[in-house]
Amino acid sequence: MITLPSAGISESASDSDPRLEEKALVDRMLAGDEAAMEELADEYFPGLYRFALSRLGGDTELAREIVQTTVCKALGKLSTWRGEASLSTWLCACCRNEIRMSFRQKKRQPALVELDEESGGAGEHAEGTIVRREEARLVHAALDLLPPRYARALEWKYLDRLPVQEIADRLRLGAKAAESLLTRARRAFREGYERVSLGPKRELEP
Amino acid sequence: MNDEEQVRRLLEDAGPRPEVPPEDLARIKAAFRAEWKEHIRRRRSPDRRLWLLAASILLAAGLGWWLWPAPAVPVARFERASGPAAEVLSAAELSAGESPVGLRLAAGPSLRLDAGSQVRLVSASVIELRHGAVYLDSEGAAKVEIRTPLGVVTDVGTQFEARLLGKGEALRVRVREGAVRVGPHKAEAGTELTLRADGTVVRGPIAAYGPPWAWVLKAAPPLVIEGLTLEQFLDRIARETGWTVRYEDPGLAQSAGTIVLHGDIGDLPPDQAPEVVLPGAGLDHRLADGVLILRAAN
Repeated sequence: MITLPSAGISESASDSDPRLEEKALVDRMLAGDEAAMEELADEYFPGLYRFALSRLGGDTELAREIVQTTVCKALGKLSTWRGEASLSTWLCACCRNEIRMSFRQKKRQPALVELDEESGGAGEHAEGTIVRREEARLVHAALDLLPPRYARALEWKYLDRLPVQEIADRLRLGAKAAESLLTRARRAFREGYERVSLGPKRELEP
Repeated sequence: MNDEEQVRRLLEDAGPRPEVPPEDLARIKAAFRAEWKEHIRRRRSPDRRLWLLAASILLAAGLGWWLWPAPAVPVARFERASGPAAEVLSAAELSAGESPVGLRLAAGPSLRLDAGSQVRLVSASVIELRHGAVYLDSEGAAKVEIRTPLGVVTDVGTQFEARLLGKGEALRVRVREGAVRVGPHKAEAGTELTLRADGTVVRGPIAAYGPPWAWVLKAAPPLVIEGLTLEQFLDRIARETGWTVRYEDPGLAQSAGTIVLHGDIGDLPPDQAPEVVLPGAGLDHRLADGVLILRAAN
């Protein structure tokens, strides 16, 4: 059900501050560490792609083009990322700006998302489907804004229903540290979910 | 229902995140990998020819600079969005190509050369204008002297353009903010002063925004928005464009200092940045007679 992390993804032995881990990953990549570059791409690009796709009416070709441009440009700007916002948030902000610039250059507007057969039809059934789909989109957006291992831990716990010990083993943590990580992940998820549900207020976030 | 139960319900109802098409992800990663390799290569051995081309400028070390009695020292650097910024040494002669070029003088001011202009950087505070036009934004830093065949222009904490007209028959100074001295004459903000070779002076008004300053925006320093508050962002936009900012909603003016911007807008010129940045901050905007009017988006 949930895609497991690919082999080779490194997890720290302790449950340290995810921002510090992200900063360390970026620093290693910018210093020329190829494994760090691969890890960053594996961990952050899928969420960024979903972020773009949800704003481009499902246009996969355009989403690929925008994300590709975003990450290539972001590489030269990563030295300006100070770790105040999470790396996911920063990349999504870059992507959102890239989308606007792209539409501005092409003098067009984002395609409207058309309702497909599943959501078609009148009445409460269709309305309920749309609401559920929007709620799912918000949950996925909130997960994509989390540090990747927070998101994975939550999915293992609540979708795959893995026991804490199994999650701890996958994260290379002790059981207590895994519990602690899950607690922080839940808190971060709830904060992120509220933010994406309410829209941009105090910060430029998705 | 406790916190954990709520999170569980939300995740269960939403289901797993959609898979990303592997072929798309592979292409994005391949492009990123290639860009990363180039980035690392450049960091390890900067190719100076690249930044020279990117800045579209021909930098000619002053002929016989070695005859200069004082040793050459860095007096400015090119403004670039990313990568290493090339330094310019004292006594260097600069000739802008087809595009305006921006430099940051060692003492802090922003110096911009219009396309086709020629200058000599005598020092970090003395510039010889030989052809075309320069724009100076002292940004409260050290005062700068622009020497021309028709007189010396001295800033008094300001933003202004100095342009040699024709083949040097006249010197035109446009003051956007503050004041400048042009020889014995003084020009205040909103004034255009033309000094002819025969010594006559013509004065006229000049707006702080609009087409006269278009080339200046093209050479503006890259705007790094990451971590700026909305208020700081708007201050910079206003300074670069000459616009004034007005909030339709007074509450918005108060919160502008607490809204933090993230991300990157590349080399987008200051007059185009609001269109990209403000919608993400939940704001609508319009421009009317040099006034940028903001209100909360519906």
